Amino acid sequence: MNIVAIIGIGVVGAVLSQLIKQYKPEYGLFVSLGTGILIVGLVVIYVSPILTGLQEFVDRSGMDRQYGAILIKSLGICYITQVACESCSDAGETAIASKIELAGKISVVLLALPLFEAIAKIAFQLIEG
Amino acid sequence: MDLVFKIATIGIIVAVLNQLLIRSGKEEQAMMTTLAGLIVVLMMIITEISTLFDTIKSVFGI
Repeated sequence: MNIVAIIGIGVVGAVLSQLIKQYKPEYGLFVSLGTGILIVGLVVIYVSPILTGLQEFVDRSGMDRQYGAILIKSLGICYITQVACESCSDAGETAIASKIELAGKISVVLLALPLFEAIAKIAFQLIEG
Repeated sequence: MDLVFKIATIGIIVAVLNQLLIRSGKEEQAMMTTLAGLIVVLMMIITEISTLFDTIKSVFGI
């Protein structure tokens, strides 16, 4: 996790986008989007060992493998929607950013639906038992 | 890293070209070059975004 490189890229990107914004405002947005994508790409490469460790931890704890997968998937969805939301609001389009956020929330809830059913089933068993 | 510098150089070149064309009285061509520069940068960004989303999909197993 070369944090110094990431900080360098971020600062250089910010300076470049401000520089270009004076002449051509739309290119400023492109430069910041490009830097954002570069940094997110770097971070995703470093995240994968964490995910495998998480999956092993979930398996060792005896839980169903499916719950670990749902956990990691929702993490991925939140990650992507956050990237999109930030770049949209950076461009000034806060309305679009909130729509993307709404879609992200709904997709995570949709993903976690089987968990709710499992909890409901357990609760009913407790009540009747 | 070269992506950021590429986009920055394209932006600067288009800006300079634009000023040149406007000074020489050819406003339509100035708009044309801006549009062309915009499309070039957009294509580069879109390919980068697609590679990013593919890696995220493969890493998170979505």
